[in-house]
Amino acid sequence: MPEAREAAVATVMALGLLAGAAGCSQDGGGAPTHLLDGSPAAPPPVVLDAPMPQIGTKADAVATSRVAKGSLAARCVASAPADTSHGPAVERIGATGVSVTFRTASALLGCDGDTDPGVGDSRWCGRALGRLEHGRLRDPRLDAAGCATPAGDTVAFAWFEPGPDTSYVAVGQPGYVEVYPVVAGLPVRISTTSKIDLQESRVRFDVSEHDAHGVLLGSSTLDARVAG
Amino acid sequence: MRATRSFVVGFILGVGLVAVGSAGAYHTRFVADNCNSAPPTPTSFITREGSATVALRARFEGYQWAGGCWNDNDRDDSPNDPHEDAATGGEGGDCSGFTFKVWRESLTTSDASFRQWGMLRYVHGPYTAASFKAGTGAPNVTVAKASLIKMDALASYGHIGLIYATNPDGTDRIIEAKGEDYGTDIWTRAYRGNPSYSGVRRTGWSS
Amino acid sequence: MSQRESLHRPPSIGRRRLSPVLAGLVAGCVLASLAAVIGATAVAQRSPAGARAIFDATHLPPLLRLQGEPVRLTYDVHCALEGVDDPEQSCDVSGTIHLRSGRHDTFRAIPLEPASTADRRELTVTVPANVASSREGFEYYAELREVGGAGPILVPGGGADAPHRSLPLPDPTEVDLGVHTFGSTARGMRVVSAPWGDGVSNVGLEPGRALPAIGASAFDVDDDGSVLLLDEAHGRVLRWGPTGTGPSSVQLSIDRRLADMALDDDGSIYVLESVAAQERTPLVRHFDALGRALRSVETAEPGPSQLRRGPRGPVVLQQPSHQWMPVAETGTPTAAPDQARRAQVGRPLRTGGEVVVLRRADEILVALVSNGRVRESWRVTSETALAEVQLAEPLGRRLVLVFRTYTDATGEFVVLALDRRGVATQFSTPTDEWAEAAPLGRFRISGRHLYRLGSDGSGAFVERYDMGAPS
Repeated sequence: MPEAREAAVATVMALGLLAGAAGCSQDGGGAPTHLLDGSPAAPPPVVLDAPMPQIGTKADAVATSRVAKGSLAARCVASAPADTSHGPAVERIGATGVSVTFRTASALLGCDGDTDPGVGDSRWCGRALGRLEHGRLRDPRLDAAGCATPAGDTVAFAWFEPGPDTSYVAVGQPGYVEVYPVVAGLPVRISTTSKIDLQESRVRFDVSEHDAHGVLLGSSTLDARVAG
Repeated sequence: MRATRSFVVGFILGVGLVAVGSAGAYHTRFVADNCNSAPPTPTSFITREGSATVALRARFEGYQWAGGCWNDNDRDDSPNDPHEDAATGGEGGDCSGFTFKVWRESLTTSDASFRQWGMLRYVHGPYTAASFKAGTGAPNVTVAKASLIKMDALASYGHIGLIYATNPDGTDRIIEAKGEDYGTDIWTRAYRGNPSYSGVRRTGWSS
Repeated sequence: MSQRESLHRPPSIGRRRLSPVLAGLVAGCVLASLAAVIGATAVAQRSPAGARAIFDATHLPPLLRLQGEPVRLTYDVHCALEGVDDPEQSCDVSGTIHLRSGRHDTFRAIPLEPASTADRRELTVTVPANVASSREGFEYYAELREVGGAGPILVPGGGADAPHRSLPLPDPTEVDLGVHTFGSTARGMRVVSAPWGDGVSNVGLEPGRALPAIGASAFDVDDDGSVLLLDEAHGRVLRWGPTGTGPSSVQLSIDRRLADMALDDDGSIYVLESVAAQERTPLVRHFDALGRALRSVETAEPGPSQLRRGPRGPVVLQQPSHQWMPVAETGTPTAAPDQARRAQVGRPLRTGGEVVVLRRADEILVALVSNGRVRESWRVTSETALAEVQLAEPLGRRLVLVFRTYTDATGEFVVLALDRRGVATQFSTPTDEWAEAAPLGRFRISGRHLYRLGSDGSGAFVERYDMGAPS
């Protein structure tokens, strides 16, 4: 009987350790289980040449004139300066950040969010405007001031300009890789809660670019500073 | 004789190569050679008068994208900074970095208390012009434009300037870090009535 | 040397020729690198870290007022000591107002008193009632001193030669606009448009990381109706003929930053730049109609805000004094000290006299003045916030007044043609300021037309409004 008791204690301890490890992997940088809109976090449609696990984010291009009235996206588009919007607005939903990006005649406008966009009174926690010259952004327009997780950790956003053959942009996060599909040819608004240097108002994003089959095209570090 | 001539030719070539290579490098050495990361001095009160002094000490000191340090010699020590390079390390702040230091804010966005930053402390702060326009952060609050007074700000999505004085014709004299080609100075502007601009105020002025 | 030997010359001879060159190259690189490092270090060490002294003042002069209003003159003084980093430690300041009734009495000195405002350092004085009530108004200037510091500063800069003047309005025509209704703007006839770009018919946007966009910063209209648009980004003026033909291009040697522009009677072009060289003030440059540089002159003060045609040449509204100063007469530049001495508070008019404008809170006072006396005046009040006055200029027997009204969400320009009875014509225009222009360069009057400079995402344009035959 003492052996049975020892076995039971060992089993309980093992189960406890496993449960603790699972909890730690969630809190201490493991892959999230849901996106900000509450939908399950799932792998991207294509497995990328990148570390695992990989979480796919949602991205949807909507004509700026057809964004759902009263929606969070509509509130972003309505904030555009006097000139008219050009082309679609891209709405993105990730694990820690949501965003809308659209173009005007000579600029890129963006709104950053840290809450479920479907909730009625949700608001944008950050905005960005990037001047375009010859169609290219002059600066990634880092926003690291107003957005935070429920636990109070800063969520930083920046634009990443993918290469012409890039179909997916992958951003290294603590314990997982967040995958952003390139949509409508617009720069990709990426977000992170890691490698944020508040002293220098600076964020480093570890980024890789992949083609439609997931093949790695290149890796880089986007070193973005708060500016302008 | 021939060898001497050859040596001289090579020498001149060498000097020329280094000169061309280092000409750009010198302009980008202001931050590296002068600025520091000294901690700010907490202070219990700030006045608009004091902030105007901070602003006037940045006047004529240039402009640097993402920048935030300057001396007070009334000249831009890194003129003609290349526009394309975010890390040119030149003198001056950009519009939001300038405002952050003039308003003596904390790097922690939830902290509205006051921090006196040294002129040569290289710091930009967490806020962009768009952040200020939205009143992001504990020290910043949006206010009606008609109520703005000295050392309040007018901010658009891409720019912010501080009111220094109001003119009899209704324009404002704005002290601002305007851009690489403009530097930091005081100009008459019509920002107040421009719908792209919002009124922003730093909280906690002593009165 | 036999031919065979020359063909088989040892390669070491070629290397022997290269070696001195290489040695020289290395030596040059090393020496120049050392010099660059030492030089950069030396220059860096030249940059002083200490705080310099500051002494500056701002003042909002009561250029116009209602009869019987008490007058308080206030100066906001900024003073900081050399070497003192704490900006809350300011220095002791004092000041004296020199005041006289009318324009010819002797100035009398009255000390300024510190105002009890913890947040700002102010010196102030209440104008004695007997002076304030003078029908001729009063003139004044201030001497401000840092105790124990350098010499006084004068506000305005011309001191006794060009003091501020405050005029009472004996019986202004009252115009009450009530609450402004936004959204009913009038579009003029578009007489000029130029898309953004770098082509021969395009107008450019200034390069750089600064936002917002800046371009097509000024314009003017010739007496024959030709419109000239300052394309400062490309260093030129674009000219359209009276029937809209064009544009033709006139290259100007300017600094390619935001500027104001005015034409002279002979078709020559004046450009007021907004950025000064180190320790200088901004330039007014003069070009002939073909763009050849004639002369240039520095403004007297560091903050010029507006350039206009005056009776004998261009005049510039200069800050901090907020006075109009002649910068050239019949083509001859006016040196900076003379500009300050001949400054006046009203804009001198080509038809004679001057126009004086004061926006205070939500009202605008405007007066036509000649020989120091108010001939006609108006008081325009509004329940909607008022921003800047863009233009105040006679057109026949009327005065055209253009100003901006705004809320936090929107803004429009309001155009009034005023006569002795009040408003003869009124309409609003959109602000159309996608690109930044000279702050007070958005409107011009030529003939019986009002012209407006605007811009949107596709380019810059000028629209024209018919103000009716001058009566």
